[in-house]
Amino acid sequence: MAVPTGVEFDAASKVAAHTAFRDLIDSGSGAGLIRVRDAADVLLATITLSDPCGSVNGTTGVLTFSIAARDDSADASGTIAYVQFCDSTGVVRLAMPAQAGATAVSGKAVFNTLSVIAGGPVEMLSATVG
Amino acid sequence: MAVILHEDFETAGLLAGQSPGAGMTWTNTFDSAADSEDVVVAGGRIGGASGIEAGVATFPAPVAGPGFVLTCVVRGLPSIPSDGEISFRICEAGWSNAASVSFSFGSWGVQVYASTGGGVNEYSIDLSPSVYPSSTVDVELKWVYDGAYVRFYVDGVETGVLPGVSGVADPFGAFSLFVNGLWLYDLLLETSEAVGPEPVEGICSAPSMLDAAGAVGSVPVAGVCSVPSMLGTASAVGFHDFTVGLGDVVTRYVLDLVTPAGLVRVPMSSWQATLQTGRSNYVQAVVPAVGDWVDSINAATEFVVSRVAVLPGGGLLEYEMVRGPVEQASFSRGPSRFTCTLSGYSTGFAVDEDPPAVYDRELAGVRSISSGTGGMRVRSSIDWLLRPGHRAFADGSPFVVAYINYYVAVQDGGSGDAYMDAGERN
Repeated sequence: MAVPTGVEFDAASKVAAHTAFRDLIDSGSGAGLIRVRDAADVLLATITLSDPCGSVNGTTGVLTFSIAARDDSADASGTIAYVQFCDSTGVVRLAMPAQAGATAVSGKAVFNTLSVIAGGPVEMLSATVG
Repeated sequence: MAVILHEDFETAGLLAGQSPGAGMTWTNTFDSAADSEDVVVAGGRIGGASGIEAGVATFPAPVAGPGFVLTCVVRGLPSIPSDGEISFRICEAGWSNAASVSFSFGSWGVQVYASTGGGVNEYSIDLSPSVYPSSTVDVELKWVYDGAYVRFYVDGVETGVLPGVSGVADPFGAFSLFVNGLWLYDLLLETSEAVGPEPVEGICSAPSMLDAAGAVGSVPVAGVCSVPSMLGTASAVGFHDFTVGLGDVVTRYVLDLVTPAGLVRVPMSSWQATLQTGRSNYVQAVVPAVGDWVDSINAATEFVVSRVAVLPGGGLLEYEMVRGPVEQASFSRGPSRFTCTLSGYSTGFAVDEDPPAVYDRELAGVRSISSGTGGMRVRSSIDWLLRPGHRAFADGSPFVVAYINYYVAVQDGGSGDAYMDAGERN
């Protein structure tokens, strides 16, 4: 085996890990949710995941979330601080800090703007793990 | 893996007038059940408060294995002038006629010696002259049986060796502790059992699948290992159309310099830019009355033009419109003005022939629409969110935006004329 340049898990391990994680989000009776909150935990918007919430690539192990519905009308105005990926009962399975930008950043939830105005739509265009 | 067993006699002492069992309080930190590992105390008194007394405490074999440590603090009784002694006796068979051993320890003059005797080997630690009346001495004795020899250590220093008996895993078995004219307290018995070769202890930290939790343990492998989560890193990209709730707010544009010291907001009299797909963007902004900002401009690496609106509720909304590197800073000085024009090119936007509908924008404030072989071109009010690569609608006709030219003049802190040309390239 060639000396790895970094930590290398085999695909089966990653598939198993990400499948288990996906199943946790799907463990509720309904679809999982992405909750968008400000620094004071005020809920700004809720985006609905598909059920199941995504698919795991059998080769790369990457979990790609599938979005079922955007939030057509933000609940409150505020500044996005973080997002939570929850199961349908509200148990938080993943939380990520948010930042403004245009392209994906590892470990971040990137929005075109962090300023949310109540009534405006909030969407999640893409989300992955792995 | 090393198994450390403790039998801790906290502030014990075996007080005069009390039997050892009643006077010695102890905790068995590895197993509180009354099993073979528990301490059994029997015999007479060990130590006494009013005179030289002798006693014995009998302990079971802590565990079969090579290591045993006795740590205790010895206090000289008031009535004892200067001497003291701790003796311990190895009672088990397998030590017949062991040779005497005598050694000293440091400045204490501690001696441990063994006297021969059939089946019984007695070792004593002579603490004089270190234990004076009411004084205390910390003593750690350790003896290790390696299968061939019993090696004695006092405070970590090997002080003697006795030949062992082949095939006897634990030559000590139960042993008795004698105290003569002293008072023992804070007595700690510690045994260790080695499984396999003497382990090399290391720390292994492995994050869990779900997060960077770690585990610390004692394993027979030396080293530090840390690996990232098997789950990999999450990322997400979201989009919010805040313009729905903006209404007819007044907007203005601001200019920020990106410097090593942070953002520096400077005045701006105008800006223009061309953002486009597949080609470089061009951004230009003019700083009026630049005298106070020369140093910041010289230090700046980028400049950013943002659109600002004060929301009806009082909040402030800032949204980046364009950003460019400071490739050129042209200063222009006249009798009554001193300006600087910043300009630079940046990487253009990616071509997307079929952009996601989420980015679709209906152009507002349309001033003109022209179309030809080159495609559609629309002059309109500046859209907050439209960017090259998005789809725009003008009078219901969609087109994928290949370029946007912005023209903005700033007057008295607000916007002068401001518009954009958005077009496609066929």
